[in-house]
Amino acid sequence: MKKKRFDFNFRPLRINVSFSVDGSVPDRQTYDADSNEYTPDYTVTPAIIQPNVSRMDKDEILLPGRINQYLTNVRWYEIVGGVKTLIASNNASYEITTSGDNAGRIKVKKNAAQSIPITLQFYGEYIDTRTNQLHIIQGTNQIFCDNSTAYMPVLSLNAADTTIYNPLSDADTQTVTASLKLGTDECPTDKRLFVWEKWNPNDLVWAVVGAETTLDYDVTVSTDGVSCTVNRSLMGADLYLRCRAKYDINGNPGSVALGDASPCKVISFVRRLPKFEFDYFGVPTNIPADLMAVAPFAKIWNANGDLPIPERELLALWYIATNQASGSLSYNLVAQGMNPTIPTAALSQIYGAVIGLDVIDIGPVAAMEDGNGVVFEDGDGNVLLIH
Amino acid sequence: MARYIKANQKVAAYLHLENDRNMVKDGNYLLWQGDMLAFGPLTQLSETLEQIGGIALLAHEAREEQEGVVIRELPTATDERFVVEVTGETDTAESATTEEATNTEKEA
Repeated sequence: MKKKRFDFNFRPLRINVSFSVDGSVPDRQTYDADSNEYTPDYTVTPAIIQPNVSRMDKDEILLPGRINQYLTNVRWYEIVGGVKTLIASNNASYEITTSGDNAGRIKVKKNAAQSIPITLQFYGEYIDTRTNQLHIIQGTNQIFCDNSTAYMPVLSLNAADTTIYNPLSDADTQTVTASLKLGTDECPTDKRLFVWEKWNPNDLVWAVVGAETTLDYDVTVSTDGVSCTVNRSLMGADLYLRCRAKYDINGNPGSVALGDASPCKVISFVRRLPKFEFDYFGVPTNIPADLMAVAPFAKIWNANGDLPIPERELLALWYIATNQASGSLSYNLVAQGMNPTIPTAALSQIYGAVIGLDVIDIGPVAAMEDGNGVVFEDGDGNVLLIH
Repeated sequence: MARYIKANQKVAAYLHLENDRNMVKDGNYLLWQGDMLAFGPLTQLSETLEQIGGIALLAHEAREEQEGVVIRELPTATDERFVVEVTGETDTAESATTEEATNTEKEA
């Protein structure tokens, strides 16, 4: 007997999903910072998103039309700021209909942050009854929040984004003053509050200035909070300062929580020594035979002339090497300072000696700590600073 | 300025919104102003509110209602479809429940 197998050749089912807002509450809201109000406020009148899943069978075996009632495994995910979270059934911010004619319907009972939309990702499964093929239905819908504040408060500071501090010539302290503007007018003082923060490079966090009383020796905030004085000679190699403003139209800025949307400005101070040159003088080429020591003096200058107090940031290191007829010389460190006394013991009777000067940056001032990171203090609790 | 509408259960049922809108402490519903379009344009909101016996609330007032801090009385609707006779209905319902309970006890 000759046998042959025959099968139905079903053409693939075409599945479509679209999303619609059910009811009169739109899926786009606005936020007014002046009144701290969302319109509409989804916590009062929720927004409802309805996925509409439909099928089209080209073989005309299955009826065309909506198939929400056949969906299984209905789920929604919330994506905010790139973080995807499954919306659990006990999530108070959402209500999901998982079965029935409106399966997939989601009630949104939370507000979106301004300019950070909530992306809602739908997931559902449908089984093609002709072939038992599983179709996965996915799609996204977004909840937007626009700004409707008449005047957004704008924070500005009277300092450059990056201030280069030259310890050899610049003033030690710099006072930074904050300003919060509404349109062109300065914000009334009772409606705003400035918060000054310093970057903590060890813990990688912003810390409010003054919170760490021992280590905040380089920054001081004025009593009215409007300005902050930075002692750049004590700040170390650099300092990052952030100012944020709390604004409340009703005059209670203290109750405002700071967030990503708060007016914010970050500035930095960087210690940098400009290029300088140096040489030494005061030593004759031919030293009298009975001289036991010589006393050269160093000079350090830059484009503006001699540096007034170079020892504050620079250290002169003196070397001497016995001269030789050939070969490289071996230099020994013999003195420090701008005007040292260097013994002539290293002078060879035949070849003499070579005196070398090197000037190095002694580095910024920093708090002294032990191996465990504990800061040294004197008897009065003042922190000890060293270069 | 957007308005939230506080309306009674009959209005919510008429609009099929009992499951979609939040119920406040006194058993009434907070509706969105757009829901009122079923009764007429928003330019005639005051007439609509008289008809359905509702009140328009600002956002902070709606929040007060939602949190149960303030509960505002609703006026009586001029349209009889939305008139809620609170005391009468409650009494009838209570007496009916009591009767049923008594009958159940007797049967047991």
